[in-house]
This record gives sequence, structure tokens and C-alpha cells, in this order.
Amino acid sequence: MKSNSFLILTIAFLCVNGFVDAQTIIRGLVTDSISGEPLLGATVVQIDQSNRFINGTITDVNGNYSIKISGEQPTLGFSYIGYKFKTLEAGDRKEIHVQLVGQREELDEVVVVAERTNAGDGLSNIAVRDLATSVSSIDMSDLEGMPVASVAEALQGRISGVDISYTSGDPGAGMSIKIRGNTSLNGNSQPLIILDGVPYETTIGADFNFLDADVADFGSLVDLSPADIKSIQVLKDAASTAVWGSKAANGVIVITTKRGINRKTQFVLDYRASYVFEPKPLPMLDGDQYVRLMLDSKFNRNPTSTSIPDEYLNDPNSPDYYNFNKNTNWVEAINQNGYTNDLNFSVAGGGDKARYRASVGYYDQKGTTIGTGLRRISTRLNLDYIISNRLKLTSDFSYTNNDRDQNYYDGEWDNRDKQVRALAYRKAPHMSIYEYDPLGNLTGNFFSPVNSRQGSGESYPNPVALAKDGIKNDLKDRVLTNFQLEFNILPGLNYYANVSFDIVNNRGTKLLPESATGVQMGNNALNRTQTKEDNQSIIQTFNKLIYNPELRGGHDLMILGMFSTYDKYASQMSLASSGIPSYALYDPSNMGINDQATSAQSRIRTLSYLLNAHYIYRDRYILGGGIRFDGDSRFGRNNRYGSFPSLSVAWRLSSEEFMSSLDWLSDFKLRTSYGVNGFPAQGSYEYLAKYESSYGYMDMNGIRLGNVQLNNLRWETTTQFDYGFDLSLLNYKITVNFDVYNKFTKDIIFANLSVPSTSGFSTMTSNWGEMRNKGWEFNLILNVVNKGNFSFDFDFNLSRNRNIIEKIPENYSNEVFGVENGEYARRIVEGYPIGSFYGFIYQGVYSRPEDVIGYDNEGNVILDPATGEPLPLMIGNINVGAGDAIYEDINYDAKIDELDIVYLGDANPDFYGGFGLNFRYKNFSLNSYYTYKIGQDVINETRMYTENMYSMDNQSTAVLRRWRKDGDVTDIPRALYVQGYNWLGSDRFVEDASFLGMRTLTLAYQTSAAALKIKGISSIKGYVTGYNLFTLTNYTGQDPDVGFSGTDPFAIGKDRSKTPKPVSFTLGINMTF
Amino acid sequence: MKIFRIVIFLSSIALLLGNQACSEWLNLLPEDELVSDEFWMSQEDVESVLSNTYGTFSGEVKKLLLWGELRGGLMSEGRNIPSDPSRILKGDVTETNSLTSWSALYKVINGANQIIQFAPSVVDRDPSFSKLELNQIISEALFLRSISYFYLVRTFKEVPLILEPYTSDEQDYYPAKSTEEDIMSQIISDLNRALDNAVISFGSVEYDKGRATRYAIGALLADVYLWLDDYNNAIIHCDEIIGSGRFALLGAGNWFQNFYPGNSNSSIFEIQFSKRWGTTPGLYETFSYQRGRQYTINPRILDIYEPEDVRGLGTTYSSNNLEIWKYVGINPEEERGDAYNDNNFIIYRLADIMLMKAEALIQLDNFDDALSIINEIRTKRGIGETSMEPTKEAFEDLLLDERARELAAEGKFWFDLIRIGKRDNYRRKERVITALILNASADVILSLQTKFQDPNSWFLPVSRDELQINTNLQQNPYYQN
Repeated sequence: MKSNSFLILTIAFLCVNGFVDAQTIIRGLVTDSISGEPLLGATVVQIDQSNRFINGTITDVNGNYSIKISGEQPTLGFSYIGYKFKTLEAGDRKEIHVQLVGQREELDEVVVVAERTNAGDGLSNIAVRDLATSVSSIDMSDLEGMPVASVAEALQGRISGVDISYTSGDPGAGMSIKIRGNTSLNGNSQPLIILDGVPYETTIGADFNFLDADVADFGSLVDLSPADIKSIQVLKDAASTAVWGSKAANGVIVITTKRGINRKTQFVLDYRASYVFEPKPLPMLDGDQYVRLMLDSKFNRNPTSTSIPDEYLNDPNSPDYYNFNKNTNWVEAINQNGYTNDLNFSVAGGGDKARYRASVGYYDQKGTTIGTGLRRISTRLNLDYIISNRLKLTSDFSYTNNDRDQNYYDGEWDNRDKQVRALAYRKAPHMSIYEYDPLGNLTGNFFSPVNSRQGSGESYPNPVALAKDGIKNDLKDRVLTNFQLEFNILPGLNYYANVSFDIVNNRGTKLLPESATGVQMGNNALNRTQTKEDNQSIIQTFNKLIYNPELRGGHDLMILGMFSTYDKYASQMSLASSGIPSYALYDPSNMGINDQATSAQSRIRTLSYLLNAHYIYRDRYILGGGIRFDGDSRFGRNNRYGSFPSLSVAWRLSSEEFMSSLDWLSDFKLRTSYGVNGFPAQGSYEYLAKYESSYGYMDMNGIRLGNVQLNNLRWETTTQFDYGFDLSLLNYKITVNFDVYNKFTKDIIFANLSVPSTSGFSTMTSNWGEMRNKGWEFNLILNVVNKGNFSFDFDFNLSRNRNIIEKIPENYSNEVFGVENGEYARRIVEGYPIGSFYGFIYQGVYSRPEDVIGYDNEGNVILDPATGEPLPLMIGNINVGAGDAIYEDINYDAKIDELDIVYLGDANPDFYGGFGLNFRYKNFSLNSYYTYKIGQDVINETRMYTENMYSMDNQSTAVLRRWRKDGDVTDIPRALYVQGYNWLGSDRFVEDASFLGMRTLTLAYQTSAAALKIKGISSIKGYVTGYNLFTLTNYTGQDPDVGFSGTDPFAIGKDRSKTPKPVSFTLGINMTF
Repeated sequence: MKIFRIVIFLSSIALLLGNQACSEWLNLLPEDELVSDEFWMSQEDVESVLSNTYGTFSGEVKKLLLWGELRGGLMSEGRNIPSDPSRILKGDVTETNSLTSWSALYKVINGANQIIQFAPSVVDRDPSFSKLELNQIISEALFLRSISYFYLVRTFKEVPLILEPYTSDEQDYYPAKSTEEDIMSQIISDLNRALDNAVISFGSVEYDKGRATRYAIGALLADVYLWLDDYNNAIIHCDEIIGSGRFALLGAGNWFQNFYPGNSNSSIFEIQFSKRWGTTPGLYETFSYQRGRQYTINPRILDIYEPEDVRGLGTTYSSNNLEIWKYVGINPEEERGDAYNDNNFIIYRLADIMLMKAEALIQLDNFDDALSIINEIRTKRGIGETSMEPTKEAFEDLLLDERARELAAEGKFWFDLIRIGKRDNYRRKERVITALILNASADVILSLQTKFQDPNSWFLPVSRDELQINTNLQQNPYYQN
């Protein structure tokens, strides 16, 4: 609606044209200034006072032209590819001959374009240097030659205060990004991305939580080839993010893409090929060890039973003898070596009027788990057209096609049991991958029995069959356009109008093949398939007025006013079916049973008003401030608008006269800022009381009130103070940035706050609680040596963030607790950080039956007052025996219950950051980059499930140390099939996951332009990069860099055997011509 | 002309910024759900909420059965009994037990409260919705609310009494408990109001058995009066049902028709399930040996059945596995299996009402009339008439045995025990305690016997989840530390 009226007005404006009066004709010849040869096809134009082209023609084969001109005192312009543009006052002349000067002789000269670069906050055009806020900037040329698929991967460890980790090493899986800690419990701590001035949606269909909302689809953060990116800024303090208002509570990442510039056309070809290796898997039991474990755990449960299941009897007469009695390494069987091919080609150039950059990229990746991969084709066109001195049109267009293969999984992405890799760890190793007939001949099929001792084929599918025949494919198209018109109304006053469209279509296909489950006709799991369509379209408009007058006396002022709208519509439709006879026909339309069709739609709108001002006096005193109002359709009328003020002040001491004598001081700026951000409710129509279709009774349809009206629901707000300085010494040889911040979040929106069930509801969305993030960031860049042939520089960053929950409601309870194996108490405690773990303290294994007694606080054995005998130690309602786990009895009552639960650690690192070492000698350079996190705890769930000996899942070789008989002293309890409490959530599985990892090591060779003999090529760079070559850690899992994804704050810091990030080697070449 | 352009631009901006439509632009409504302002427009809206409220109640039948049966001593644990009911069965009752959750019944209450509050306004909006129809629907809602509270009172004794629907977050979500007297008097006034507008017949057998007719409401009212020891009123309502001519005791050969196919002639109110609507109560799966059998009939009480009693072997229980055959079989030999696992759950049937009347008569010392009712039932069940010395205690025992034979595992017997046990200042307390320790393990029987002397221990504790969220709730007396 808004955008339409704007467009009409814009078009109306464009139609207002100059008046045309008397016309004359000018003729002439255009020649080369040196050779004097005529130039064929040169452009001749008439230009008005604002440099707008009025009329134009081109020269003929002899270099002659004739042009109709209008008006008094006409100006002519002459241009030809490879020549300098030339303008002439025509005066009264009727014949004008022109000689054009070639540009060849000036090729070595670097073309400097007078533009203000590095737009600091993505909104105005203030340089980072002149900001009083905390902004980190990264120039993508630093990252050239890294085999990265996404922006997030490239940024990891490079900017202080930004904590990036992997969610999985599978192709296309997302990264979790946190800027200055978790501010919210909404699960979404991802920052706002601003792409070329427009907020960029990083989620698709986040409103839908039915079916399988796929958090991993947060995906390749930006569907953008890293090769197209010019620079990235990270806005960390609230004064800088406040201009982005409600969406910016988690920080802002501003991405600027490369654009065409005024120079000769330049072609860049960038190609890299990588080979990817899976890190060594955890050592698991082989078939024989597994069978012995199973018998052990069975007899420990029922000592009187003597029967041995057929599967475990090494009986050659059994028809299935060849299918069991194997030593299968399932994890190795689903691994493969992956590769990546990444090709980018761009062409950029332009003249005075028009500039362009077009690029096309192709990315092809095969993952380290069989069946995973990603193919992406992307194109991008950035066009700038200067219509006149006062009017400029910018249009960006990009298209991306992502084709991503994952392994089939059932239900939630985080479902531990159902992922191929997790299944491979669990699957019984005495079973064969492929089926044998009773004579020992391979049948050519996968061995997927309907039932085996371990369980049904449905709950324990054949992992290799699942990886090979199963399907989880997402085919995503995304079109992104942005049109901007810039109009200079008066000197210093500019108006910008933007319309941006973002359209995403995603088609997801899933198939659970019968070859993996072995189920027969009639079963619901037979060839279960699902097809899902997600569509999303976002329309954003921006109307901006920037006043930037020329002031004398060292004053510099910028005032910005903006009105913007955001409208997002998303829809989803899904069709699921099962019972399809052949899995080759996996489209759900193929006559299945149990067809299920679901659909959902949602719309979100926001309106924003912003007023912002920025003032600089003599490069010394900087003052910024503003206020933004956001209206959001997700709140009720009373709380719909949020206001977000900001204020920042800086003092550049180095520009003061009394400091000017200090030659060694290049730059010194002190700054402080304050700002407020908001966080809106999630879900589209959250505040409304909604009646929804639900179950009925008998043949009557039912409708129920799904949730109550949320009249009290209001914005979650985060207030942040930041104090910092930027210091550069010795002609920028040493640069130090330091920031201290204090971030306070109140009215936290909690989507599932429990309410007394007497209301008829169990949970409600409501504001509660307060949280604080305090920390500091330190950043250092050292140019150690820079002499002719040799240079060495070093950069280092270190961050500390402390998260504290400050207030929870008196009657808050989210703790669902019984003494259950594998469960950590879901507790939120004031004074402790979010991501804290609570559980029991594990103290080893009872060696003998007589050890199993309780002690009081003085160390005396607790006696039963009735009998005088030692009181048997109880967990839950069962007695503990020899070989069982010892848990610390905190309250000395000979009972292990919830009163014995204590704080065990938390998932937030104490310190994190990265550092880089860059050497250059002549044409060679050697760059390496490292990241580290210190003091983060992780619950090693993978280890928990591979050491519990509780089910028939395969276990790690650690269980070979298990307790077997009275007197054994060990740290691993006895095997006990589905009984006992030997794997309660305890510190046994909480590990310190501090690490130092080498991210990249790159050796590059670049030719100098002079050395290049090949005609047409201006530079060539070749490089070899090793990626994730080593990680130093005491963590026993595969990868200590455990990311947090999903919406459950209690899932933070749990290692769930996702594909670890692989080791890879890349060979790349970059050519400019 | 330059000025002209500038004017166009500035006015266009002013137009965009100053648009009062902006606030409307942010008012969005979902496409696949109805917001409350658009709801409560037609009779269909009211009926849909009523249907969902019934549906919510029907989802709780298994818990209602366990509440009314677990501690009564007629059932024992089977192979796959989950740990929470097992603990209660053995006398270990704690506030962390999942069976202490009352949330679903408050969902029913909230649904009923909405109908009672909002349905009257629909009459003005929907011309086809008559006042009569409105009152009939409200009587069903009152019934659902009352039966929910009655279950809650019998299980927890005191619970919060909520009579207003929850529709906004501005309401008080933290109520305290109300007294048993207040809740019971609310139930009585609600049910009497419901009775005045109740439907005699909905026009189909399923609706007549499955929805709150006048007789279902009367049966509940009789039950409630009996709980309150108001014997005369209880008899009035029993008599109305017995004398209505719409219900008859099934003959000896037909007794099993109560359970298969169900909706028998003697049934007054039973929660309906059917494959046709895709609903099953999970009762077959709970009791079938093939499906793991969570509960069996208690082998220690089998001697209450005389050999010729049609309610014993092959009907109430099966021979070798002691399955509770009422829920497992379709006849003495055949199991329901997956094809017939859509058992109805009976809440009131005629024999129950007759025994209620007998109980009231006993309390009024009218032993002759009570005996003739009991003997009428016994005759129909294939066992002979009995006689008894005319003392209250003897007749109470006779009545309890008859209820056990007739209604075993139908979610009745534990409530019967408390009702009789608490009368006359706990005159029959020991009878309750005897039942409570029937399933306890030998080493704890002595201590349990002492524990259960406190009648507060007969009620379940308030769930710890509720206590933690709502600090205005007090734990039930026996469970306060």
C-alpha cells in the first residue's frame, strides 16, 4: 500500500522533464589523440547543467557525427571505451572536431574513487572513524583465499565480542552467532543482518512450529557468495544498533557488497577446490564385544535367566548366521571423503554515468556423511546509474538457487535418536550392512530386518540404507531486489527512497525408505514421505531524508529522518503419506495411506520512524543521538509501539592541539554510548486470543480457545552502556580497541512460561525476568615489520562476557523433574548464567555390596532406627547395588533425590576470541588464523549415550572398563538393561571444552603486475589452504566447538554427535584480467 | 519548476509519514484461526466448544478410572505397570506423582465456563439459535463442570473453584483452594439448574448415552447427594431414573453387553469412543495381557464371586492371566484386538444407581427395601437372594461387596470406600484401610496402617508443579511437611 503510493509519486516526478526549444545541429570528427585515427562508434552526447544526458549519437565508420542540440550554451560530451571522457562548451560553433586521450598509459595508476566508504551503521554514510559507537569492521580482502561457504564461517574468531560456532559440519548447516552473549531466552540470539542497507531475513517460516520446524535451515546465514562481499561491520553497542530498532537487540552485522566503479571493465575469476576429511570417529565396540556386553547387561538385570538369544549364539546352522556375527563399523560405513568446488566469476566496471558489477557463482559440496551435499548457483547484478548531478538510481538484483541434501531424520532436527550419524553410533555392530542368504551369498539388498533383538527396523533403521536411499532435500530459490532512488533536493539535503523485495521458495522432500526399515506393507512407516512448500515474501520500503550541510568553522552535522515499513507474508503447505509400494515413487501423490495435508499462513508487519543526528566539531568532539519508534503487528494496541533512544559521545584527543606534538600518537579516541533495543513477540498473531480447530467428541467437530488474549504482553527491552577507546600508535603500526559494556535485558518474553493449570492452560507467553550481560573486548593489530620485501603482522582479540540471570518471577517454575537417567534439571536460578547445568555429583562406582551405605554429615553410617542395620541407599524407589554409580549424597539422608542436585558448570566460555599471523615475503604470503574458547563446559551427550549400557545401543570402547564383579575398582558402572540409575545427569558427562583450534593456514603466491607477461591478465593469485588442521583440547568428544541451535535454552551446550567440522585442504586460484 | 519538484517530494513524504491508516495497517488477523472478537457468533460456535469440552473430558477416562480404582484394592499391578500408578498402588503417594495432575479437568472446566459465560450472547447474534437450545447446551456445560469438580473433590478434597472463563492475561491466575463445602454447594446448585433445562433425548442412542441427558445429570446429582449424606435427596433422584422406564437391568446372559458392544439398555452415561471417529480410550491396551497388561484383577478378592455369578470369570476377569476382561474381551473367549479397541467408558449405569439407592436406604435404616434392591440385582446376575442380620455394618459390607462384584475396575470402588468410610465420624475407617494395604508389600504394611489412620491421607496431594507455580495454593494437610 505504502510502497505503491510511493512508486506512483516517484514515476510522476520522473516524468517532469525539461522544456524543449529551438534546435540546431552540430557536426564533427572524433579521432585518437596520438595516432589521429578516426574512432568508430564513439558516443557523443549533449549534457545539461546537472550532467544529465539530453540527447546522444554515435560516430560512423569514418568517425563523423552529427547531433541535434537544444537550448542555449550547449555542452557536449565525448566518450569511447578505453579513452577518457571529454566535455566541451559548444558555444555558437556548428562544427567541432575532438581528439580523445587513451587511458592505456595510465593503467598503472590506481583509480581512486571519491566515495565515502564503510558506511558505519548501514543506514547513514558516516565513516567508522567518525562514529562514537563500538563498531568492528572487516575488509573482505583479508579473507580472500579462504575456503568458506558462508559469511559466518569467514567471520569466526575475527571480531572481538562475536561468538560463532558450528551447529553441524554437514553442508549448508548453519552457524550460531552471538554478539555479546545471550540477551534473551527466546532461543533466537542471532543478530540482524543488514545487506546493502536493507534488513535481510535469515529465517524462513520461523512462525511455524508444527511439522518439523528446521532450525538448521537458519542455514547458510546469507545466501550470498563470500566473493561478492566488500566489507562487513559488526555493530555491538546499543547506540549503534538502536537505529535498527526492535530487530537489533542481538547486535547487527552490516554487509556491503561490491559495486562497479568508474574504470575499465575488470574480470575476476576465482576458483577453489577442496578436499574434505572426516575427523576420526569415536571408537565403538565391535560385534563380539557388543554381544558380550548385551549378555552382561541382560544377566545383571535378571541373574536367574540363562537363555541366550539366537542372534548372539554363534550358531552356523542358524539361517541368519551370516547376517549376524559381523563386526560392522557403522560410523565408518556412513563416512565419505567430501569435496568442494567453488567457482566465482565477476565483471565490474563503468563510466561516469553508469557503473555495474555482475557476478555468477557456482558452489558444489559433497559432505562427509554419505547423502549430504549442497549445490548453489548464485547471480548478482549491482547497477548504479547517475541520471543527473542530483538524481541517482541504484538497483540490485540477486538470485540464488540452493539444492541441499541432508540425511533423512524423523521429527525435530535435534531429535538425538533419529539422525543418521547418531543411529550409526547406536546400531548393533554384530549386524551386517548387506543381506546374506542362508548359504552366505550376498543378496544385493540391505540387511534391514523387520525386527531384531535390538528393536524394530522402524526404530533402528539400517544407517547405511538410510544415508543412501533416504531423502531430505531442500530446493530453495531466493530472489532479492532492491531499488533505490537518491535525490539531491537542496545542497546538503538528500532524499532516498528504497523498495526491496525478498522472495523465497523452498521445496522440501523427505523419504524414509523401506530398504532401511524393512517394514512390510500395511505399516505406517513403509516408505514414509513428505513434501513441503514454504513460500515467503518480504516487502520493505524506506524513505530517508539526510541533511548534511556544509558548515564553516569545523562543524559537521548530519541529521537523518526515516520512515520505513516491513511486510512479511509466509505460507507453508505440506503433504505427507506412507505405504507407497516402491520408494522410487516417493512423491506423496502416489497412492499412499495415512495422507496428511497441513497448511499455515502468517503475516507480520512493522512500521518505523527514526530521527537521528550526528555532530562533529573539528574532528575532536563527536556527539550522536537519536530515537526510533517501532510499531509491530505482533503486539496489542496498548503496547504496540516501542521507543528506542540512543546517545553516544566521543572525544578524539589525538586531534587536540596540545596533543599534536606527539608524533607517535596516530589516533586516540575515547567514547561512551547508551542505547535501548527491543525484542518483539515471536509468532505472528501472538497477542490475540484465538479459537482454533481441535478435537471434538463423537461426530461433532471441536473448537477451543487456543490461547488467551495477551493484553499485558509488551516489548522486551535491552539497555546497554558501552565505554571504550580506540588507540593507534606509530603511524598505525599498533592499533588497540577496548570496550567495556553492560547490557541489561528486562521484560524478557518467555513463550512457554508455566501458569497454574487451574486456568485451563498450562503455559502462556509473558514478560518476565531480567538478565544482564557484562563484559569487555580487547582487540590488537600489530604491524610488526613492513620493509620492502618482507612484512609481518599480527592481530589478536580477546573477549569476556558474563551472563547473569538477575530476576525470575517468584512463582516461576520450569523445572520438570524426576530422578531420571540422562536428564539434567531444567533450572533457571537467579545469580547464575543461562546455559548452566544442574545435576548430581558422580563419585565413581560401588566396588562391593558392603560399600553401598549412606553416611551422615559427620561420616557415620546412617542406621535404620527400627532395625539398627545400615539404611540401604536408595535412588528413586530402588536399592543401589555393587557396580552401580556413586552419587554424592549432599543432604546426608541415604537417598539420592532432587535435593542432591547442584550446579555443575555452564556452557558460556569465560574467554573467547582469535588471533592471526600474517607473513609476506616478496610474492609469497603465509597467513594463519586461530580461534579459542576458554572455560566453556559442555554436556557430552554423545558420551552419555555411548557409555550408559542401559539399552541395546552400541557403546564406546570405554565400557570395556566396566564393573563386572565384586571388588572391581573402575570409573564405569555395570551394564544394566533398562534398570537402575547409573546415568543420571551428573558431572560425569560435563566436560571442560576449552580449545584452541587452527582455523586456516594459507600459503599464497601473487604475481606483480609488471612480472606478468601474459597479455590481458593483470594479476594472478594462487593459494593452498589447510582448514581445521588441529584443535588442542581436553574434551573427549569429537568437536569442542558445540553450537547452540534451536529454541530451547536448556539445550545450550549439549553435544549431540552432529557431524563435526571437517579437516579440509583447498587449492585456489584468483585471476584478474 | 524546481520548487514544484521539491513540493511533490516533500508532500509525498508527508503523505507517507502522516498516514493515519498506519495504525490500522498493523492490525492483522490470522487466516486459519478465529480471534475471539469474531467467535461466539453462531450456534455452531457454541456447539463446537461444547464438543471440544466433552472431548477433553473423554481424554481423561483412564486417569478417572485410576483415581477411582487404584487404591480400592480390586486391582493389582501387572507386568508393564508404569512407575507412578505402581507407587500409589503400593501406598507410596507423593506430590511428584504424575497422577496428581489435575490440568485436564480444569481444561474441561474452562471450556464449560466459556460456554456458560459467552453462549447467552450468541442468542442475540444468531436468530436460529433459540433460548431453549441455549439452555440445553448450558445444562450440558454445567454437567461437565460439575462432574469435573466432583471428581476433583473426591480425589483432592479441596481445590480452587473457578467459575469464570480465562480469556485474557489480565485475570488472576493464582487462586487459592476453596472449601469442600463451597464446591459441593456450587455443584448442587449448578446441577439443579441443569436439570431444569436438560434434554430427555438427543434422538440417537449414542448421543443419549454419550451426552448429558436429564438422567445423566440426575445420576450425578444422586451421587453427589450420597457423598454429602443427603439420603432423601439421593433417593429422589435415583427413583426418577429407576422409574423412568428408559433403563433396565440386563439379564444374566446379557450382562457383558454393558462392555461389549456397550451403550446397553442399562447405561445412563458413558463416554463414547469409536473407530468411526478415530477415537480410542486406550483401555484395551492398558489391560490386555498381549499389550503388556498394566493391571490385573487382584487375586485376593476373587472369592467375592460365587461360581455361578455371571460377573466373575470370563466377564470381569480372565482365567489364566487375570486380565480385567471387561476392557479386553468382546465375549468370554475373544479379545477385542486392534479392530475393537474403541471401548466406551461407563460412568453411570442402572445397577450403580440402584445400589446408590440401596446405600441411602441402609443409612436411613430401611434394610428391607435395601435388601430387595440388592436381591433384585443378585437374581439378575445368576446368584441367589441373600439375607443379612439387619445391622448397618452388616448391610454396608453387603452393599460394598455387591458394588465390588458389579462395578469392579469401573473407577468407582475407591470413592465408595471413602464415602462410606468417612460417614458418622469415620465409623468405618478400618474398612478403608484394609483396602488400602491390599497391594502393599509385606514390610511396609504395618507403617502404612498407621499412616492411613489419618483420613487426609486418603486424598491425593496437590501436584508439586502446581504448588511451585502458584504460591497461593496450600498443600493438602497430610502432605505438608
